[in-house]
Amino acid sequence: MGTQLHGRTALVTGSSSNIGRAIALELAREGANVVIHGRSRLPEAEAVAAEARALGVGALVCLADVSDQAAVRSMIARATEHFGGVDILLNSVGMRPTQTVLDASYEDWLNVLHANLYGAFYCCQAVLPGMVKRRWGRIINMSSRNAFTGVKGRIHEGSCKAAVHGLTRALAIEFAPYGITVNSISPGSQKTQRNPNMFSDWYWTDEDRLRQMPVGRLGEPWEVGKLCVYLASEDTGFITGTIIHMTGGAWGNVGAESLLWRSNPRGQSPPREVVR
Amino acid sequence: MTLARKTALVTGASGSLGRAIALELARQGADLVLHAFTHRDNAEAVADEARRAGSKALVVVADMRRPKEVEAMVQAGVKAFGGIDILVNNAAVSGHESFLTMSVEEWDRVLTVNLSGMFLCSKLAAEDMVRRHRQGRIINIASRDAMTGAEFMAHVVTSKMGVLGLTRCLAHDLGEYGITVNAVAPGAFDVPTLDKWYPTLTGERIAQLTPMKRLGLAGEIGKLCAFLASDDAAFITGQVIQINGGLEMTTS
Repeated sequence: MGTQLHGRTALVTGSSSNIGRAIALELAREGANVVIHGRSRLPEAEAVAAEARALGVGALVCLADVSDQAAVRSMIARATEHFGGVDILLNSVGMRPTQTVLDASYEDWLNVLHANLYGAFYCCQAVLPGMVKRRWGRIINMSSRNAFTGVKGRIHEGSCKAAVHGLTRALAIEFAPYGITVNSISPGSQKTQRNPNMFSDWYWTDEDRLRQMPVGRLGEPWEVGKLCVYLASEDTGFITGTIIHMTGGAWGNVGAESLLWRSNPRGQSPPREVVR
Repeated sequence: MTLARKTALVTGASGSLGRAIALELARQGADLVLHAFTHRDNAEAVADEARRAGSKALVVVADMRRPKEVEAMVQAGVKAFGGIDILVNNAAVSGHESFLTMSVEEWDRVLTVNLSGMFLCSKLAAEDMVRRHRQGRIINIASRDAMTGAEFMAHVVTSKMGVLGLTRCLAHDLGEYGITVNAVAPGAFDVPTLDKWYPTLTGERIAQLTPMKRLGLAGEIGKLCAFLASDDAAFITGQVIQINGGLEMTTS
C-alpha cells in the first residue's frame, strides 16, 4: 500500500475487467478513490469496486454508455458529487470487433468510433473544467500497438487508437498551462481474458508473438497499472503529450519486422514468467 | 505518361493542394473524378485545365457527411470511367477552437469529414478495385498537425492522427489484393490558406525555420502523389511520407 495518490480521485473507463480493472486497482493501491465504469456488466464492476474498497479507498460504480454524451456527463456529475471532483482520467474503453475494411459497414465503423473515440472526447470534456479550476489533472489515454503497426481486420480499432493519441497530443498542448498532463500508453500483448481470441487471428501463433518481444512473455495488466500510477503521480509534471510503448521490447511501430532480427527465428527463448 | 488509362478520384479537388494533385495525375495521363462540396466552380476550373492536358474529367459534388452522397459520387466515377484505380483522400475541414467550448456538432463535423469520410471513400473505392482485380492505389492526405499536435485544434489533430492509423490498417486489409495505401503528411506550403494554418507565424518566418529555407510548392505534393500512384511504388504501403523541407527536425 502506497500513498502516492492519496486524496485523488480517478475515473477509469472500461474498468470492470482486464487492463482497466488492473489499472483501477493499482491506482487504489496508491490511495486514490476510484470510479469503476462499465457499460453494462454490473456484477463485475461491483466486484472490482469491492476489491478497491478492501484496499481502503472509496469506490463508486457507474454504468454508462460512453458513446452517449448525456450518460458521460451524469457519470462525471455523480463522481464529482461523491468524491468532490475527478483528478485522474483513464480512457480505457476498447471496443474491438474483427472486421476488415471490406467487411465493415459504415454503421459498424461509426459504432466503434463513437465508443472508442467520441467516448474519450466526452469524458475529457466533462472532467477538464474541474481540472483547470484546480490547476491539476492527469489524463491517460489507452492507445494500442495496432495504431502504430496497423493490424489486419481491426480497421476501426486501429484507426481510433491512433486518433486517440492525436487527442492526447492536442490536449497536452492546450492544457499544459494548467498543470494538466495528457499522455498515451500503447500496451503490447497483454495477459488478459480476451487474449485467447486475439491469438486466433491470422498472423501470429503464440510463439510468434512471444518471439517479437525480447522480454519473452506477455505483459501483465498490473504492469500497465503501475505505469498509470507513475503517470498519475506528482513526479510527472514534465511528461506530457507523449506515448509510452509498453510492449516488452517489441518496437512500438514495427510489427513482423521485429521477427527478422532474431538470427535464429526458431531459436530458444522460452517464455518467462514474471515474479511480482 | 505513367498513369495512362487509369482513373483517379481526388476528393477536395477544389482546394489548392487538391488542384495540384489532380493536375499532376492528369499530366501523367489519368482521367479524373473531381470531388467538391462548397466550391464546385473551382473544381470545374480544374476539370477544364485537365481536359486541356488531354484527360477526361468529371466533377461530382458530395457532402462527406452524407454516406448516400459519397456512394453516389463513387458510382458516378465508376459509371463514367469504368472504375476507380487511384483514390486520393484529400478532402478535409479545419477549425480553431478551445477544447472546453467545442460543441459535439463541431467535433463530429471534423471527425466525420476528415476520418469517417475517408474510411467510406476508401471502402467504396477498394470494393471496386477488388471487384475488378485492379492493383489500385489509395493516398491519404494527413497533415503536420498529426505529427506534432496543435493548439486549439483537438478535433483536427485527432482526425489527422486517426488518418495515420486508418492508412496502416487499410494497408494490412488490402495488401493481399495488391492495393497500396499510404499517407502524405505535408508541412508548410505556399498556398492561400497558409495564414489560417499558422496564425502566429508568417510564411517568411516558417521558411527561415525550415532546413530547406522555403515553403513547399503545391506541385511538389502532386509529384509525390503521382509517384505513389504509379506502378513504381507497388512495394510501398502503410507508410507516412512527410513532405516538409525538414521542418519537423527544427527544435527550440
